[in-house]
This record gives sequence, structure tokens and C-alpha cells, in this order.
Amino acid sequence: MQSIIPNIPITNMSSLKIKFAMKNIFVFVLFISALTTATAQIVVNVKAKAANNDDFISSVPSFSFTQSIKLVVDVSGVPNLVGIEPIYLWGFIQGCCGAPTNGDFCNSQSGVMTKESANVWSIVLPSVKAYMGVGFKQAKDAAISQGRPGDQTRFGFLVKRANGCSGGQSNDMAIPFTGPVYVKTEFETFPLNTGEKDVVTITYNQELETDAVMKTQAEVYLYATADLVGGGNVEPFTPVQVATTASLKLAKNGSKNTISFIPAKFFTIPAGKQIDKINVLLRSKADANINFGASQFIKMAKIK
Amino acid sequence: MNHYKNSLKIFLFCAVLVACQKDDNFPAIDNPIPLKPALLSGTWTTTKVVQFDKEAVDNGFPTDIQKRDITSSFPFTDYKIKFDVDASGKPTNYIVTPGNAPNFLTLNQGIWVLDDFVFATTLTLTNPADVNASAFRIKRLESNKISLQLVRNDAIDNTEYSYYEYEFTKN
Repeated sequence: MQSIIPNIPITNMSSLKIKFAMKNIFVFVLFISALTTATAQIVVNVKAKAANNDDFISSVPSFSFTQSIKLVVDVSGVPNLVGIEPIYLWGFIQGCCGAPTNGDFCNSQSGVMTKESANVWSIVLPSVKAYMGVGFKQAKDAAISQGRPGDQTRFGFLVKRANGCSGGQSNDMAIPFTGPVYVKTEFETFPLNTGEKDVVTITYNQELETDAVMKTQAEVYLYATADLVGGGNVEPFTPVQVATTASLKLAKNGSKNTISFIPAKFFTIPAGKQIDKINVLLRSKADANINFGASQFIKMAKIK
Repeated sequence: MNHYKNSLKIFLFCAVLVACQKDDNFPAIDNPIPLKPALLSGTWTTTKVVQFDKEAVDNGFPTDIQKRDITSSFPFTDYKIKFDVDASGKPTNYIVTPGNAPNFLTLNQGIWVLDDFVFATTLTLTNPADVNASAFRIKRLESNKISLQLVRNDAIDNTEYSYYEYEFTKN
């Protein structure tokens, strides 16, 4: 939140501009709240069986591909694992791949689980995506290749001794997960992550604008500043200059407005400096002081 | 009876049309064309540039969220690259003439190499006097066209976040 406030030119702002700034902060707070809710950890309790009793366990809480889960496994029904310590996780997506950290099945060095109680072990996965190191499309393609009902994506795993060979393992288990869903928003950047020498395209979906004035603007302009690593910022065009600079006008296609630029060319970056992030405001042509629309910042990757 | 014959003809015609649709996604070469360096010898001009968001591709998001044709956003069609081969047909020098187009390569001239002379998948551009290098993933080759992907990796965690797909046409 602090990152938004200094990037709006407060010194030149009218009270109306401050009102819009407050609106943007409020939206940002809501966004953070939503993100926190969406990433809450899910606890998944399962009961393992002896090897060769493959089990699809559908009765688990719903969780997404990018959501953290705590996997709790009861091994009291696996004779070869009862009383064994510690227990290790071995993950896979059937039809796709094994987890990169699986290692040697006969001598596990990673995937060690935490003892919850006698014969009950847990492990926290940051997400299936992070643990498996694959994109959702690969998981979906695997589901399709397996001919699963509804192309359901599943995370597969078993638990085992450090030496899982010679029967020191549970059955194969699989639990379903959902995929990330694209949700169209008022302000979008393409690509989501970008470097300062990349082409960045900003899309302003005007039909999703909640401000009545901005929603009906025939012309929309880009106002952008760049925060630099280590402090300082760059403002290539002041708010007053923006509406008289044709190159800053977004191309309009229905309610979709777009503009593309290369940050390293758009901003004059002092020698030895790098862009940390870009702050964007979209505005009308008519008045430099009011009618700011979507406000957002662009994440910058550090390119090789 | 003629009614059924006509219906069958229309069905067959539609089936042929569907079967012949061009795939705009430049699929990987399943049966690679032997990519002898001599096939790349000469000057190539950019005719199309498509930018991809790796995360959107991985997530299977809608096509227009995965990629954007940016050919007309900047003067990409100015961009030319020339590959030379020696008398025995082996790769030697390359030179890039970007014109007014954005240039994502770190070196504008040097030597070029293929990872394999029969089933090449990577074309690397280097210069013995410079530690920097660039590499293209080879996506498709036709008689006078080649599609090359330039990958963007994050310098901190080395993850691929984006890539550009260039379609070059031989002059």
C-alpha cells in the first residue's frame, strides 16, 4: 500500500485527485484481503492403505493448483509403515511427471514429513504447482491423456520409508485439485511479469470501470512513472503533458483500450540504475486534474 | 439418391477444409525437417512477432490472454539477420541489422551454431570476445520461412516468464 501513495503527484493534486487516490488505496486493500482469503491453507486428511490398493480420494476439501495445502496422512492401515519414523512423501501427477524433489525411491533425502501423532504424518506443500514444478496445462493434458471423467486434474502421492523399495511404501493415492481461472479485470498488463527491455502492453477494459466519467471517455491516456531500485523515480511526462502527447493515447477497440511500450525506451533511466516497478494511471483527455481511472503497478522481472 | 450424393460431397468438402486449416500456434516439429545449416544461409527478414505470457500459457488461459501479435506495435519488420556458412556448409558468422525495430539480442554479430545438424532444436548466437550469448528455440521451418523463439528468463530464479516468437522470411 505504501508503494501507491508516493507515486501519485500529491503536490499538484486537487482535492478531487486525493479522493481518487483514496479510492485506489481502498481498492488495493480489498485486493490484498481477497488475496489473503484465496491463499488460505487447506488441510487435507487421508488414510493410507497397503501398497497395490490404489485409491482416488474425492472427499477432500476443494483446493486450487496454486493454493498451499497441509497433507495429513494416517499410516496406521499400512503394516509396513506402522511405527516407522520418519515417513517421506513421494509425489507425482499420473500421466505427467514426478515431483522434482522425489529423489531416489530406495533412499529418500527429501520429502520428510512431520509427526503429528502415532502413525499420523503431515507435510505442508506451498502449492501443487510449486511442489510439482509444472504448469496447470501439463496437469490438464495429463488428465485428458488418462481419460479421466471431466478431465479432472489430480495430485498423486504415496508415503514411504526412506527406503521405499521392497514394500516400504503405502498405496498410490490421488486427490483432485482445481485450476487457476482467468478473470477479466479493469486493468491488465501483458505479460504478467516483464523486464525493462520487454514489450509491455496495458489493457484498460473500460466496461469494467466503476467511475462514471472514465467509463464514457472516448479517449484515454497513459500517465506512468517508474520507481528505481535503491530509490528515486522517473516521470517522463507530467499529468498536464499527457493529454497533449499523441503517443500516450490508448488505441481503442470497443471498450478495450491498449497501449504498448518498452520501459527501457519509454523511461530515461539514469546510468547504473534499474527499474523496480512501474506505476500507471489512466486518465481522460479533458482535465489533467481529475478523472483518473484504473491505477495499478507493473511487476518487473530482472532479465538475464 | 442425388440428394444423398450431394450431401456426401458437401460433407467431404467440409472435412477437407477442416483438415487443411493452418495451425497458428507453430507447434513443435514432430517430424523435424533435417536442418542443414545451408538451409539457413542468407538474409532473413522478420515478418511476424508474437509475444507469449508463459504463466498464461501454463495455466491454459484463453488464447488472447496467452499471446499477442505485436508485429505492428513496433517496426519489427525492419529486423534482419544474416547467417553465413563456409565452403563446407558449416555455420560461421551472423550479423543482425535491427533497423528501427526493438532488438532483444545481446550481441549483434558473432558466430552461430546449431545444437544438431540433423534435428536441431536450438540456434545459439555467440561472440568469442563477449561472455553474453543469445539462443533461439527452433519451432518451425518451411522452405523459405523459419519460426524462432527467444526466451526471457528471470535473472534471480531463472524461471521463464515470457517468450517472443519471430517468423522470418528468407530474402
